[in-house]
Amino acid sequence: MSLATALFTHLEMSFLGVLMGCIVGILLATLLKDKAGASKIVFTVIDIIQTIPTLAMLIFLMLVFGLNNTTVIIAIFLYSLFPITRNTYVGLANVPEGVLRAGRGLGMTNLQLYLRVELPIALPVILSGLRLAIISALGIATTGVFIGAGGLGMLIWRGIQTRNMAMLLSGAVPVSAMAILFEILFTYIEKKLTNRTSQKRKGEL
Amino acid sequence: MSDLIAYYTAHSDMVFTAIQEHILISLTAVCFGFLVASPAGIALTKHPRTAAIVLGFFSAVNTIPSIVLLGVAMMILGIGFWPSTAVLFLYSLLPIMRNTYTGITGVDEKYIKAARGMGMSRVQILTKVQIPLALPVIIAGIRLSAIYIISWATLSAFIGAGGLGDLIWMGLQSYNFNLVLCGAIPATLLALAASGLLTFAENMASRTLHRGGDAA
Amino acid sequence: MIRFENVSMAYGTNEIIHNLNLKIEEGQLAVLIGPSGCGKTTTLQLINRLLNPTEGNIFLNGKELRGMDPVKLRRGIGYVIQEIGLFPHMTIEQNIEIVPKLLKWPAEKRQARTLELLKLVGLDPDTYLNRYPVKLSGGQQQRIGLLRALAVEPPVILMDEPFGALDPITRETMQDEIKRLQKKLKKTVVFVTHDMDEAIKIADVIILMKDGRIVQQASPEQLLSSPADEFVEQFIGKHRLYNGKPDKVMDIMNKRAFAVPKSMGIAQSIALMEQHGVSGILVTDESETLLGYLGIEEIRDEAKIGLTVGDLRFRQLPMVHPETSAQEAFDILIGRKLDILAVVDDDGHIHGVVSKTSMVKALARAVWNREDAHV
Repeated sequence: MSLATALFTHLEMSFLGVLMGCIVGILLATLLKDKAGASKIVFTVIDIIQTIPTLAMLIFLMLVFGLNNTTVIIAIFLYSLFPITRNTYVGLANVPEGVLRAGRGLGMTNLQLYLRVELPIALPVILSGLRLAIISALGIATTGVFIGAGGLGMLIWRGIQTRNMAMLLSGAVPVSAMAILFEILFTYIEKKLTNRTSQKRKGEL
Repeated sequence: MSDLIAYYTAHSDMVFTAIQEHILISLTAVCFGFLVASPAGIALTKHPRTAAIVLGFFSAVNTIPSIVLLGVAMMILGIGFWPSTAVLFLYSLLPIMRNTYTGITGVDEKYIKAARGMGMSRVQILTKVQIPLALPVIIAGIRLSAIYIISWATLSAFIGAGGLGDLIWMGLQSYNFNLVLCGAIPATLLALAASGLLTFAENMASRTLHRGGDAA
Repeated sequence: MIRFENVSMAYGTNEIIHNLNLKIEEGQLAVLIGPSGCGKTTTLQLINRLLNPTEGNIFLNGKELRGMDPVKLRRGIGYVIQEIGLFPHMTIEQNIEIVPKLLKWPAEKRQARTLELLKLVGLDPDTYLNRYPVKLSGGQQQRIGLLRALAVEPPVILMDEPFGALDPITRETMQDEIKRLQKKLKKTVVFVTHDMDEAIKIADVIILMKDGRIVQQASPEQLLSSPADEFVEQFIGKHRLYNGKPDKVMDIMNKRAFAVPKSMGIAQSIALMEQHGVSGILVTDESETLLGYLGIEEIRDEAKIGLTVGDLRFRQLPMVHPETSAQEAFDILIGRKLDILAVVDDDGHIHGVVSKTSMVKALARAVWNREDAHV
């Protein structure tokens, strides 16, 4: 198992899982907009999913999907629902009422309002959720080794089993580096987007 | 299903021991975490710039997948209860510290002004105003910590710490899926229970704040 | 141009608008005004179909609104709201261009139009085009809001308390500006406000509403000189023209005269005078009957520590009754070379004072319609 293969598999699983999470999560949040009752139910379910220990989740999914990469992808998908759906929901809810009224009054259709006004305004918050989803995805993919998936987890685990620090690090460093990289990149983008629309307040971190 | 139940009944002792071990590891880690992270979080509220650095550092630490740190700990500190608890303790710090920090800094200025005006000392303001008002957020941080720890404690079995992860591991090795589930299901229930309990505590704390009507 | 025929609008059992009949001519600046809940904003929103009537018909240039596609309709009507509602994630340029973009105007046409619009309100394109709304002041934002509404040259513009969120100075500037632009561009404007000053200043026709009905629709001049009923009179309040001349003393007196009880200490009275910016005070007894007047000179000359106001010698003020004709009061002031008259009723209670200055101001308002001459 070469580093390159492991890296690729790792990224592939994370990417696919988060992508599915985005599609479902953003759609779900959009459908739940302004529906307090349904939201409560859906978010309770997502909350429960989120609380299930990672390894246990992988086990449960494995019983259905087998000892392979697919299980990991689905686990990543499920765990990315919480940050993405919740953040999208909050982001959409925080679009100022006046802006919506102006848009409607000027003659925008609901779809145009959604795509050109609501989503863009909610974007920083959505990206923040996406950031959390990606970082947790990288971690889950690492744990996937225990149910037979590929990825950098394999290198790390082999390193542990053979007490080979070098091998452990050859898996650990890329994963950590990627996580930190995404964290910095996304935080930067979020900041840039938020700066466009808000005054700097004193003492904000 | 009935297969599983039969298996469980046959091995309930083993499962209970594992549950106890698991709770012990998790509780120890979270408690130590709380004892360190809470005062740290409070201290950081006086130094925002240091806070940015410290919180940033621990955020970075928390992005490192748990088996990495567990593996490193094992190779350096050996196997068993304490190495894994040490790693879990490290992971538990961030949620508690960050929530304590944002909780306390997030307390509305007007309450602090009022307290100062009434002649409360800094310590009194902290203990009688800031901490009580920040309590729901702090508890939320403890809850996050607990959930992460219970989850990662399942992995600590791989470095010989025992707990429910042990059952999962043994089960995976011997393709005994009943054994696996005897580890996975209790772990899940444990996490849900801890989450539920702490959410309840959080809501209670919130409710007492607003009990006298919302004069805020 | 805009016509309402027997329009009613209800939310469930709550009728907001009752049987409204309304006509607004092309090129007019019509102001819908009234107390909270009178239905003025609802009426406005019926025009661009943000709301729909439960009964009746609304016509725009002879065409029934009911049959039109609401979205297309709104793109042909300008809309400016109190919250301004500039899209925070778009630059000023993108904000102004939004409707042209929706209508698929070519890029050059859009850009040319944006530059034209900025010139109209005197904003420098280089400074503003690429800025984000958050960097602009309230007044500037609302100007852009207006430009955004004007972008596709709609013949009708709806404005819902557009200057309500602005500070008084900016508000005045914007009122002048909207009047100027409306005349220049020959637009029909329907403007909602609760501020009578604003209405009188800018309207061609004022439509005063109450409880979902029109109480009076008239030009400002007509409204002020011939109010239809007591409600209108009250609503107009101090703007009322008394057929060109003030009738009675009570219409022109200065109610801001300052009265203190005779038991008040000297030092305190001086402090209060300073605070309120008056050069003399009226002294009353416990039952609020007027005893006299103390000017700053009297106080300065005779004041000693520990004295009360009542210990000093005050001037006896000549008094007139509130119902005295203003003309008579004027004659008294001039004839007896007085500075000030007290307005006192039959029970000796003080209602206000008339000074030469207040008299002159009142007359100026009535004769020349000078808004800055507030009594």
